[in-house]
Amino acid sequence: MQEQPRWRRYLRFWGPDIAADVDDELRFHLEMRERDFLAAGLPPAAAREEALARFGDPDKVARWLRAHDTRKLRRFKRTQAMSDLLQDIRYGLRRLWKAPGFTLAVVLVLALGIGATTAIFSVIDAALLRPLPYPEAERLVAVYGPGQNPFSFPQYLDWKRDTQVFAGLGVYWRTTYTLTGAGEPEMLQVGRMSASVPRMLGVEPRVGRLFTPAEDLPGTERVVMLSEALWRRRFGGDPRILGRTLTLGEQPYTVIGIIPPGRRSTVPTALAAAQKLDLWMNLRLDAEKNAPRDMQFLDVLGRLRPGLGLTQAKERTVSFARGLKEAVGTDQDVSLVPLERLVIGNARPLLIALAGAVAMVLLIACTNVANLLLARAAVRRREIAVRAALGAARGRLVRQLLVESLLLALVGGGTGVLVAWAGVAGLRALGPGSVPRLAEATVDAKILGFALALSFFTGLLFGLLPALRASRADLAEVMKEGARGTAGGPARERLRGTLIVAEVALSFALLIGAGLLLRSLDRLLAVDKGFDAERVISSYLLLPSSRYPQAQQQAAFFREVRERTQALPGVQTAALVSDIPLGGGANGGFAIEGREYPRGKEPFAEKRIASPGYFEALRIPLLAGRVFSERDIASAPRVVVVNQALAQRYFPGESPLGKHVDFRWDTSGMQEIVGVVGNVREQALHQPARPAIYIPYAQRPADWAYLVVRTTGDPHGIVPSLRRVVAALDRNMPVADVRTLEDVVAAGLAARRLGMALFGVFSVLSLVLAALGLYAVISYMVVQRRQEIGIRMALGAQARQVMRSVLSQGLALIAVGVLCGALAALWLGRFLAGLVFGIGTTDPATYGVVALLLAVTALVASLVPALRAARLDPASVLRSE
Amino acid sequence: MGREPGDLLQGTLGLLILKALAAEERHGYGIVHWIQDVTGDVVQIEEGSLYPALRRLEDRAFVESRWGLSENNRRARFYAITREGRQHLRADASSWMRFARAVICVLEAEPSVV
Repeated sequence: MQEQPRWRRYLRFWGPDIAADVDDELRFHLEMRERDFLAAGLPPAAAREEALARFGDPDKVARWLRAHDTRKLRRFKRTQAMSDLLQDIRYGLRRLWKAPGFTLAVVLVLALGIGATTAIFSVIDAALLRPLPYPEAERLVAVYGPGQNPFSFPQYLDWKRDTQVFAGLGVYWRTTYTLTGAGEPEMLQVGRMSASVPRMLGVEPRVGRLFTPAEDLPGTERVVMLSEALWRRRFGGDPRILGRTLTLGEQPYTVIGIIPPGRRSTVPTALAAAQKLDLWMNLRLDAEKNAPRDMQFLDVLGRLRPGLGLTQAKERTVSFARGLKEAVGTDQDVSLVPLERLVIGNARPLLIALAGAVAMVLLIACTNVANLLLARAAVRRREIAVRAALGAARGRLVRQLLVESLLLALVGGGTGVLVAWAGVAGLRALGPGSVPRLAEATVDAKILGFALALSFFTGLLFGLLPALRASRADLAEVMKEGARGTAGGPARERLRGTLIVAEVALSFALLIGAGLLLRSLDRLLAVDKGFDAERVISSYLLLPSSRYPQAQQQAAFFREVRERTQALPGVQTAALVSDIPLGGGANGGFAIEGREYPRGKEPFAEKRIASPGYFEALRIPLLAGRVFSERDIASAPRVVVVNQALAQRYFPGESPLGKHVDFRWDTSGMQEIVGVVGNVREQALHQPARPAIYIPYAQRPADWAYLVVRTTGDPHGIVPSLRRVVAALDRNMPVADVRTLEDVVAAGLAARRLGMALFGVFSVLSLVLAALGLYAVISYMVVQRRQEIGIRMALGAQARQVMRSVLSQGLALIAVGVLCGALAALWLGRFLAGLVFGIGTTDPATYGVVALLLAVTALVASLVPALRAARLDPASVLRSE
Repeated sequence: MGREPGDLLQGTLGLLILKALAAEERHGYGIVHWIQDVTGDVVQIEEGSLYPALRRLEDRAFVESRWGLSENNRRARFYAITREGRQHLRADASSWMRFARAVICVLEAEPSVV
């Protein structure tokens, strides 16, 4: 044993009260001195006085001694605590080293639990917790017009006059321009915006300058800022780019700046939250300011006045809107959405559900480790009881065991950080576009701190109970038990049983979550999209208005493209449409001939322009009438096709064929409904189809189109010939946004797939952990009952009876666990409500399957120990007694 | 801290205390009493300064203390010299003796003043 410093010895006798001890010592001295003087014959008063005189100032001495002793005691306690801790750590490390199997199992389980939790936390941190990378991002709001729609130009100009709500108001919209004249023609993603937008987003140009407010005005120069990526890719990083003229959509634009890459350069539009822009273009409102009020497609970004809360700001918009309504006459209500909420969008429920799921995985891991520790504690009971009997304080024993669990937790946490690091990398690779700001997720100092705190917390969580329990061991009882060759009483068995029940319950709830998401995804995949995406490829074409100013020219170009594509080998059907399904698109109010609707209650529909062959190419079924044909040309009678949803909503109980409709801001005159087609999910897979009107391209030309092609073979194989067709018609026309419709469908499911995959991984993990826990507990019970089983068998019990009795123990635990888990899942189901599609959160089929799965797992986990019990040789068991 | 009790005789007082404890363990008053007896009451120390001096010796591990019962059955704190204390006493005492002898030599030199 290590030699103790000398001063430790007396501290065992050190009273708890330093002041009293000091006083005692000094008083004893004074009284002894006084007694001696009395004995020498001095009168009492003189004796006391003389004693004091000899001593000096007792108060001063007492003060000095007290201060000294207090300091010393404090130092002593600190040193002792440190040295005890170091001793505990050394001892713990030695013990863990000596049990490598146990240590490895615990570290592995913890690494998975802590790693998964840390990885999910880093995703949540990036998406929800970290502020947006804009200056004073909390004051930025997205502004929507009436009915949560985008703004129109007149509305924007109206609201520019406000002085009470916004310190700044900016407008932007995404569009595309074709860059020509410098190598291959290329379609570029362009943001047209007011000068205030880059400033609100805190963008600093790398070189050059930002737009000036004067460049918002009509008739000013056309200027652009290049993204650094485009500048490098297209212009080789030419330092003399500033002042150069680019040809965009056949018009000259002057380059005024370069925008460096970075999070701030991502304009957060509601339509494309994370799409980077190639070009930033000044607003230069020309003809647009006279655009109709219901041509709503502008994103508006506002900075609230300093000190103005969201609620207050909303109140003020109401009063300003009232004034506008009196002046303009139409509904002017706007809504404000904090930018943060806009960016997170609908990923919040998924993230919260994932956080809950991963917390449950961690709890299961803790429970499992607690169970392992309990089993180990049972083995160590003798050692602990002996140490307690030899004088180790209970607190010290508890601490010793806790230090051991904390060591395990820290090693597990360290390994977990590696798991998290790999997990975050995997998530980023797996799910681009599924969770906002996923690319920003990293394992940084904050995440490491989180993992460390988590490790400590889990160490306490799974270590405390076994430590307290083990330290309560009674020596006599343990020794008696030891003599009988068993360990652990009924209380211990009950505790381990409880832990298994908790594990099974958590696992059940997680499996329910995974099952619900899996079934939702299944339902979504099985949803009738209204079209057939298989072997269909789409690409985007945009005609520069300078070279195709006339509607006839546009119509002619697109007709030519379609006919030449149709003639390509491997093409089944080629067609054009203004917007492909599942991505949203134009919509608006329309009039029905002979009907009047009150203001604000006008019929509303999705508007798609389509060429002949579109419904065939996408296999959208024709329900009544006819689809477009080559005869529906500009000079022919104007026709439209509507979908079933429109027919049912606006023409219930009658045939819409022969009726006339017209979009209000498309003053092309009334059009006759000639056909009804099936509903297509134009917005998203989970959103039921809205009423829709299809207009033939020939009668309502546009300068853009998606070319959709159904192929006979691999759709990607057709792409080179497509490009050749377009280039033959117009050398300067790029073919952009080439995607198969299957990819479009898959992209819409990315977030759900990610959520499902993670829930799946978590629940399988939990199931394996629960099964292992159950296996360990049942095996342990069999070992404990060896003698009893041996005796029973010696007395004639059949192997089958023994097996049944062991199995029933396991099944009883599972039954209770499943019951608790079902109750928990019923309650937790509400958090999945936003993610579940097509089934209820209490879907009985899911519950049934999960319960069955757990029962089978439990059976398998108990079967091995049960078989082992049944194969016991009673003779050898009794002999080993 | 201002001027501590015992500053004056600090080194010497420590030496006296260690010497007082060389034979047996004593409480504070016992130490004072022994010094008084041995010197015939010539060396009178300020008794209050004894205790800080004892604490310092204890801090340097030259003495250790325990609570016990005095000869008149009262609770008293007893001090005992340690092995290190003895070594220190031996070294300190011999240097003191050399010094004292030197002083005596000086004082006894002709012409005598005593």
